[in-house]
Amino acid sequence: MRISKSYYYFLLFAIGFCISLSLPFLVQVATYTPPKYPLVLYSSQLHDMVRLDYSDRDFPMTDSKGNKYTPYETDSLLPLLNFRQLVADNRLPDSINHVPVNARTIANYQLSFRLSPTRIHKPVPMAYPIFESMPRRVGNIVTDHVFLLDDEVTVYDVSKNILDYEATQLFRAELEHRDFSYPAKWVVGNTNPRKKYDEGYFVLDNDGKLFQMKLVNDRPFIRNTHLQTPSGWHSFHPYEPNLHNFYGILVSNDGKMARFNIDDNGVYYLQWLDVPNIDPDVDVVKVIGNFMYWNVTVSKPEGEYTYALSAWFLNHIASDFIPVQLSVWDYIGHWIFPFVIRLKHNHTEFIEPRIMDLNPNAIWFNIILVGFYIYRKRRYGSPVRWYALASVLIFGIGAFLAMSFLPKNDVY
Amino acid sequence: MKVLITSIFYREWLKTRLVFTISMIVVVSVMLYIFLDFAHYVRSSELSAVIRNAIINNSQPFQVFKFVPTLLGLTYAICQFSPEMVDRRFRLTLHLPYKEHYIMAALLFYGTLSLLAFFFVAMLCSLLLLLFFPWALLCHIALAVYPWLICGFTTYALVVALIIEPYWVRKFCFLPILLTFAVVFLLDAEPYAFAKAGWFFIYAVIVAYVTPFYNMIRFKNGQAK
Repeated sequence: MRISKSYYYFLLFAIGFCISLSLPFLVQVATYTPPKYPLVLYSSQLHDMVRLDYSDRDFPMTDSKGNKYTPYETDSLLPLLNFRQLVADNRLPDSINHVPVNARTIANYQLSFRLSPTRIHKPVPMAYPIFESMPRRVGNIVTDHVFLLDDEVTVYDVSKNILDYEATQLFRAELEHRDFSYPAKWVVGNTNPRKKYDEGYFVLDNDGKLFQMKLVNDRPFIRNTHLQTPSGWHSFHPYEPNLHNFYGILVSNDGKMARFNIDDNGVYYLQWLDVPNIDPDVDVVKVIGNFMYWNVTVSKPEGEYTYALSAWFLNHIASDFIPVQLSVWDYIGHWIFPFVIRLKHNHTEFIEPRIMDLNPNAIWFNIILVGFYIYRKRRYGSPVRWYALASVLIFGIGAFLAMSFLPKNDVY
Repeated sequence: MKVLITSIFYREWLKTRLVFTISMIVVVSVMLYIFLDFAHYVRSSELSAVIRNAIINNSQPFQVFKFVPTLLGLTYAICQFSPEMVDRRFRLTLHLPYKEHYIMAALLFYGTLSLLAFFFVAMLCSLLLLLFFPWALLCHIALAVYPWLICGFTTYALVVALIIEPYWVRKFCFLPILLTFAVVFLLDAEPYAFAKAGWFFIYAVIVAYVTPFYNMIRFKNGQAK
């Protein structure tokens, strides 16, 4: 009984795929070490970028000139970071750079948040909980309503498991009044009920207009922010600081970041971060801020860039760069595997096979495999077929092992 | 063809009726446990908080069911094909007066239909959760379960291929392929993280169901290596 050639080639491809998926993963698990970067901050005392690495307990801090500092000196040179230690030691100064400070003021302005591509490229929630932005009782922001926003807005009462027609009609009327264009491109907000206050959700409609949507005194509050950028908005990363002094970071399609807030007249405004454009689908941005400076760290494949910006005007003050430290995988992986198939990736929560890390250097290893393949065929007197050699040359070790596992003499 | 399918189905039913009954009891028991556990959870806290948790944190009430389809596929493949290979009856089956491909397809169709029956009953039992969830939310949660069901079908077909493979060394070589697919479908991930991998699921099922035919032909030809 003949085995159809189509069976053979189909299985050959499938086994080659499985090997290309699993073998690089196993080798990477054995050889990869993720890069470790020290914390880079701007010192208000030294007026310089400093690196903190607490694995060195004697001299954790190093400045840009290479001077090292003990933990005691570090506390004084980074008072806005280590203010609690200074308070415990009774060493907190009355003013920093001629600005009067106390522990409460410093604590109120502390912030730390992260902009990650995985927060954008992830499954969209089915529904969003509605919080009360002006609760009658302090802290009681949680309501029993959730809303769905697809081709229309729909509000459900989850305590009774029914559609709330009245609330739905209110929201629809308000969205229509504000000239909202369905369907929404994205809806972003803090869905965690354990927060001090609620600023609702920010919604990008189909025409690229950004709206703020929340519930105020049981009535929908929907307002067009009128914030535009030539390339359009890519994403929004919400942050709800203690002082209500901004909503979060907007990222445009060309990679510019802006902090946005509302003034006393109810007009939304932007403050652009004075940093180079990022790739919002790849780069991870971390912000560690205080009432004087924002330390913005952008993690790229080649290393980490840290920028010190003024906290008020977000203008550039200083910067630092730490190149990536290569691991054993980085040295050997691109010589062995012409490509790698990955299921998970750092940039997205979605799982699907992706061909990544195309490595032309692996052609040399593939040539060795071709030589070994020819030697085996000659030794057992089997014919050497050109398409087998081509597939080993192009697809590498996956094709070689697949053809070893499914020898051609099965087909006759 | 009708005679072939009827006779093959009857023979397989006689062989696997006990396993089928026990598996059905297991599936219903697991789904009832899920319902009772969830009802207890709802009584312990508020229904609105539970639903918000399901929406915000993607809490999955069917987590207990995760490995059940894979185990069902594995068990059913072993119960259906191991006696054939141990008692050396599989070659006789392939000598029936029909093409070997049709015979193999009928055998695989029986197993697949049995698995579909289990999953259909599980789906019916999951409707009990409508007492707590709205229909849209239940669909959203239940659809997140489909990678596990696909894993059940691919496990069944690949284990069948593994059992009827005549060469022992090749049996172990098929294990990494089986494990690769199983690991993919059983990855810890958010519900709907597999939303973009539909084409991969179709490909995996096709690969899984083609492999037994390849091994069947090798078995029929008496290829030892």
